[in-house]
Amino acid sequence: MFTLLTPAPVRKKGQNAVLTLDGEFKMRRSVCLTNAMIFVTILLLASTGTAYAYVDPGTGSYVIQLLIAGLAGIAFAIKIYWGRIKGLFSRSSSEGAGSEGDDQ
Amino acid sequence: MTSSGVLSSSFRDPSGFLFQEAGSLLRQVNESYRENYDHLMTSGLHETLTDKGLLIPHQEASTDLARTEDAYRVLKPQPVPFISYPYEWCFSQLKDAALLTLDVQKKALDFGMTLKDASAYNVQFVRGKPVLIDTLSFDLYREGQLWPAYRQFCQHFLAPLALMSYKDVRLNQLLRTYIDGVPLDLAGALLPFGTRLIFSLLSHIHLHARSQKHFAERTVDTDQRSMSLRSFQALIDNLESAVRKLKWRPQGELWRDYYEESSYTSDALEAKKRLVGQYLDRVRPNIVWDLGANVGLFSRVASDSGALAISFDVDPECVELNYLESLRRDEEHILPLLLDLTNPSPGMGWQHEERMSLMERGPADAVLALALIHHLAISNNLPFGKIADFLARVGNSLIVEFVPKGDQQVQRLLASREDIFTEYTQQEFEAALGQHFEIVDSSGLPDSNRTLYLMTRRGA
Repeated sequence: MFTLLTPAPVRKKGQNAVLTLDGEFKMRRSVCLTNAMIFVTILLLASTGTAYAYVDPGTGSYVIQLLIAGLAGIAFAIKIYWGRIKGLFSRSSSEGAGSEGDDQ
Repeated sequence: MTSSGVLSSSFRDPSGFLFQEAGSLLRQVNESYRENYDHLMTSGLHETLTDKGLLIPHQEASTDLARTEDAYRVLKPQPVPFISYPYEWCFSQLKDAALLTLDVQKKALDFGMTLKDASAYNVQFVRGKPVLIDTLSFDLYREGQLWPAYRQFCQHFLAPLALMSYKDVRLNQLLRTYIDGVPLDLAGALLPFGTRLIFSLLSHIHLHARSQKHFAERTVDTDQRSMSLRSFQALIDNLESAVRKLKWRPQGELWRDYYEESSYTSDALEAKKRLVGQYLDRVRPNIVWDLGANVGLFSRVASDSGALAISFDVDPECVELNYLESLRRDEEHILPLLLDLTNPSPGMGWQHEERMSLMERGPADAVLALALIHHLAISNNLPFGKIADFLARVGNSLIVEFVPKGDQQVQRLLASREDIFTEYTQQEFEAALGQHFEIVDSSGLPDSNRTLYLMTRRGA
């Protein structure tokens, strides 16, 4: 378990899925999103400075990948569901248009 | 290359390595990679990728050829006729190599595998198209895993492409300094502020760099984190759309209008092309290096005759236009590359051995040096003797054009400098080149005082 950011939110055991943004609609999604937004905001506000070559960039790449992949996964899922919803409406509206035509 | 024939470009990979055996390039697959290799070959992934020209095909050779005892297989990959490096590619070549890498990754996921690295050096241009050359880059996909190549993809492809697109196309030369790709904090510092408003660049470069810095000295238990397959696919899709959105268009007009300028009338240009073609027919080269190729007019005389023409130019715009033209014409025998002849690609990496210098990749069967010598001799103060030394190291035959001092192109170069070039005469030129080459033929070019020579290197 790791501390994502300080101050760390109080978490109960099993709720530390801050970075498990996997695009699935899970119960903890809202917690994930909130933390992701905090993370992004803090990173954006973080002061610029020199990163030194001797530090290991692997961990930060790992964390940001989870975050981006999670957001991209959610966006991907929304796109699919939105497509289905639009499909429903366009079907019903075309049916509606058809019935209007029939009426005339 | 080491004394055992093992190539220094592949020593980092525990899965296997490349080695030379009796003039052939072979790849040993180690026992530790057995499960991955078997899955690659039996799942249909290898066939799918090679059928689509995305992965270099190979044949299995006898394991008797193996160099160490832990060998599982020995492969004989299809040879790559000329190795080029990302700092020699134009914008669109690097972009196409990036898209190839993502395409391979997508297909790998379909077959339960993933790329374990995303090095631009794993891509080569073969028959005009980028192709993955590292057969050992594939690992079995484990449910919940992240993409181990993510950081490398951002450093090798996304960061340099973004810098070329949003800042300056010459920033691809950072790849010549940073062998594992452009550090993301450096890319972030160089990119214009506006790129923070583009989500893909904000996340994959700016926030990525910040995250690297933030977590540099923190420990994260990576085993407890997982990423669903859908998120993995979404990440790759996201990177693909980020790369596709990056654009760069050549703006300048310095060289590409060269042929339309008054150096040659169209008839004289056609005559020069015919003469170059005739000289090439006499040499019948397999590989031609066209030095100072501009947008590749004479490279195409060579490639149309069946030779592979490596079409070098110092101007990124020319190389870009040349590459786009090769795509438009679906050409397989021309490879446009970026090269400053006065400072050619050096040997790089560990002990200077991971990436070959230009010289190590020669000599070519024939070198074209057309309308080039006066640029080297006058603009760069290179004595004829030095130019001859260089040409003798890179080519077995030479088709070279001498442009006399009276020529308007030379006068143009002299207009802004003192004429200290008293030795710039045709006699001195022939004497210097004659030290290394035998002059086989020469012919005056129409509508000018220029001369075209066919020479062969002594002892070649």
